[in-house]
Amino acid sequence: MDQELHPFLKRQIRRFLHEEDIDGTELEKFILAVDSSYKHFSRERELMETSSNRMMEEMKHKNESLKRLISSLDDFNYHVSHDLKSGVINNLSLSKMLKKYLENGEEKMVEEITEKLQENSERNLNTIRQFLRIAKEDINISNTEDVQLINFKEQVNEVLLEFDPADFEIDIAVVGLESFVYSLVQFKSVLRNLISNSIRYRKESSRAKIAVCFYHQELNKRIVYRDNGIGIDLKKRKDKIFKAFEADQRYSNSSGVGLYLTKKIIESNGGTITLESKLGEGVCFKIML
Amino acid sequence: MLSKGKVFLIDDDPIANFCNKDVLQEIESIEQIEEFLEAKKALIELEKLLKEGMSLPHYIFLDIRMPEMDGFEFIEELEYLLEDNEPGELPTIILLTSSRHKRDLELFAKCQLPGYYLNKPLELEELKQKLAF
Repeated sequence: MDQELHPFLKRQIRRFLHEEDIDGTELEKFILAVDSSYKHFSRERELMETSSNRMMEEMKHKNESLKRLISSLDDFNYHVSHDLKSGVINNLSLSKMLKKYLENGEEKMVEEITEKLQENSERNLNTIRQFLRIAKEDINISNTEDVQLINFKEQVNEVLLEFDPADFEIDIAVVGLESFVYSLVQFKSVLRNLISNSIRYRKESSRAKIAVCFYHQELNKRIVYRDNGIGIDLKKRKDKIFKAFEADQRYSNSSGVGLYLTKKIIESNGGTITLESKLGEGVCFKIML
Repeated sequence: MLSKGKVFLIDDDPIANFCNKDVLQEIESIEQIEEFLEAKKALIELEKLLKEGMSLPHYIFLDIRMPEMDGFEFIEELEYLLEDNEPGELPTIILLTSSRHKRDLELFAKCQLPGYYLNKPLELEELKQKLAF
């Protein structure tokens, strides 16, 4: 029994006690009690250390996500002030012009300005819709109440119902476990954004071909998403691809919000998204959930 | 060499160009307004003028936020292009802003070319006051 005791403790105790005062078994019992208390306390200390490390990690994580939030709010503010204002300014300028040319009686100009006024107002409406969409999705991102076990294939198919089957064909594969824990609203939002981009940026007069694969092994959860669309010139647009309101100018109906929100959702869950693409050769997104 | 009567107008928004052009046309000394929807194209044109020894525009009205090359990227490229020009031979940049965002003001303060800000929409009176037409 003696050998199991902590040698340091044993030495200390023997230093302070006169062995002749207590008989051997009493002493052994005493040493044992102290030793087991010591072991107990060091277990407690280890637990405290682990939990404080975990708290530090969590705080670091929260700090990073706050920093991201601040920078995205800053971006948002910049775009709101620019885009909304320039839209309204255009309307103001056009109205002034309209007044001028009405007074001059230049009918042709009046007609042209009126058309531009309408075009500009429609654009403003679209801009406001995008801002509202971001605001709405922001609420979804902060909502973690619907975190649940998600069957990948099932939910992808669920999202696909929102699209016209004539626009795309898709191949869904799962390697490893088929379910994972995530917010359902957020997961569907990610999928919806990727699929609508594949359809929007498909090659002319062909269906979008999409291949999506879910790899789930132990803690490693990955989605690889490919399409055969028009692709992206990453040399030109690399910095802008995941930023809000930097929609591809080749297409007027793109909102410039989808990939921004996608990245935001994934990162707010501690994951990453990267893009590989060449002009004319489709895209490949790699997502770590 | 600068051509007093020549201005460039660079903005990716055709409606803003349409309105600003209308204001600029009211100024008698402006004879030629060249409109660009992409900063890159304006830069290529300036490079061509420089190579051929043609006169450069006196004023360049420049939007900040544009896709591909934005206003500040344009200024940076232009400064590089004009680094051998005498101070009197540099076009003046008129930065068109819709909101005086701190980020933009800080970047513009670093620019070497002569320049001003003007608020969008361009106002005829303000233009005449601030610029030597």
